[in-house]
Amino acid sequence: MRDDGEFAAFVERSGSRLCETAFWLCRDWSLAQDLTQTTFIKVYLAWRRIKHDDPYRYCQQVLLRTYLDHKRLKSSAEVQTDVVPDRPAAADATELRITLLDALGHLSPRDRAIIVLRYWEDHSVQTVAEMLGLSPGVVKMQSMRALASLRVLLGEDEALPAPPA
Amino acid sequence: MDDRVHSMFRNEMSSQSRPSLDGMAQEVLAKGRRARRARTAKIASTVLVAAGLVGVAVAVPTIAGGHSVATDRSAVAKSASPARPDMQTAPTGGAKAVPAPAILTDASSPASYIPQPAGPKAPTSSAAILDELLKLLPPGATSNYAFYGDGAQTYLDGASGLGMIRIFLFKGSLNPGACTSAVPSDMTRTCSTLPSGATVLTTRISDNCVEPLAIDVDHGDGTVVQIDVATCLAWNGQSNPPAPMAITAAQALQIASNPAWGAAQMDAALVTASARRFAGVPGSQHSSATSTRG
Repeated sequence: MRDDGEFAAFVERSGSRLCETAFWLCRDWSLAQDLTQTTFIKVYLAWRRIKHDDPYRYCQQVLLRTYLDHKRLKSSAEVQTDVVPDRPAAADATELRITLLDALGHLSPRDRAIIVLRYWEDHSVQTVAEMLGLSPGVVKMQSMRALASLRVLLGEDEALPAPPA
Repeated sequence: MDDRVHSMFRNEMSSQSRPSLDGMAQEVLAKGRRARRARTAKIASTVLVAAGLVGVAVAVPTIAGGHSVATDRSAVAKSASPARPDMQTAPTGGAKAVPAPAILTDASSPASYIPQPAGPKAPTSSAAILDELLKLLPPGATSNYAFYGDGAQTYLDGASGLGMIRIFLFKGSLNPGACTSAVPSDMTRTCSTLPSGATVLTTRISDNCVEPLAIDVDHGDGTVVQIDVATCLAWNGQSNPPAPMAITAAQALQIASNPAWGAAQMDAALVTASARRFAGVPGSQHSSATSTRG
């Protein structure tokens, strides 16, 4: 029961943050809640083993796997199209925010995960590589390509960082 | 330059209406316990098979050479190290310890002990389970509904005060071996048979306020109904506040043995009506909805 109490407190502390990350990945709050809950259930089963390490990092990895599995196994509500959204006529802040969310939807699940981990979770290339089971070189390359795609989709050349060296 | 992307993410998130995660911790705990139980049951079953194989493998030399297999069985049993008390190696003493069998098996019972009433059926839903439970409870106000995929939760403010009740429907049957196995010292487990032939497993766990009393009834035809009568309320972020048992063991048995239950399907009209009635009760959250019976 003590473990359960600790785990419940951990869920209370980290649930919102994890759900936000899930939202960036799937762009749907309802699905984000489901992914978050599924993640926590999986983490619960490993809680005694991982609680003394970095449980939130473990959560992020489980969330990523859950999300990528979901994309592989289930037909997602998301519709990927070849149509690039209209370029905003003006760099209005509201339009930019909406366009970023839309633009992320045009990336592949793995590219989106890389962008979210790098720029929302602030993880290093090395950490992202470890979390996704990729080499740092692959993460750099895919990050570069994903940023280039976002730049085209957003039509905002200066809004995004230059490709990593 | 990275800062610009960071700020775009954060500006976007700040404009979002985030959903409430109230109740998620409790929901996760409940589902996690279920998942752990299912996983442990699978391990226990595997260990039983393995123990049986070890027994068979060593039986021949035992007959021929005369040495005991008890130590080998104990080693196999201990290797499973199940996490849940009711699945742990029975404390029967030293080398003779054997794993307590899982209370459920995947196999359906050979008979229909408590047949469902005739009529149109639809796939069982957690809303239908909750709806039926509310119909069968003794008089009192109900509240704090929650769904658990294969079950539901409600509070009942009845004759003995505000308490929590959970119900789960399982596909499969009760394992007869669970009735005769030894259990840890903080648990008692008794089996009985209803006049219909249905097996009833009553489990009491002294140090678990969520499931201190669990009544399992094997309806046959692949349906097992479990009622958990708690001595605390749901997790509120800091604790499980103590509470009286909302119903007695006899009332729990009466509910669990009602013929309306079906793990695969239940009354079609109930399923349809409950989907509308409990549309506002998300699976991961509690509802503020209440109702009063009596």
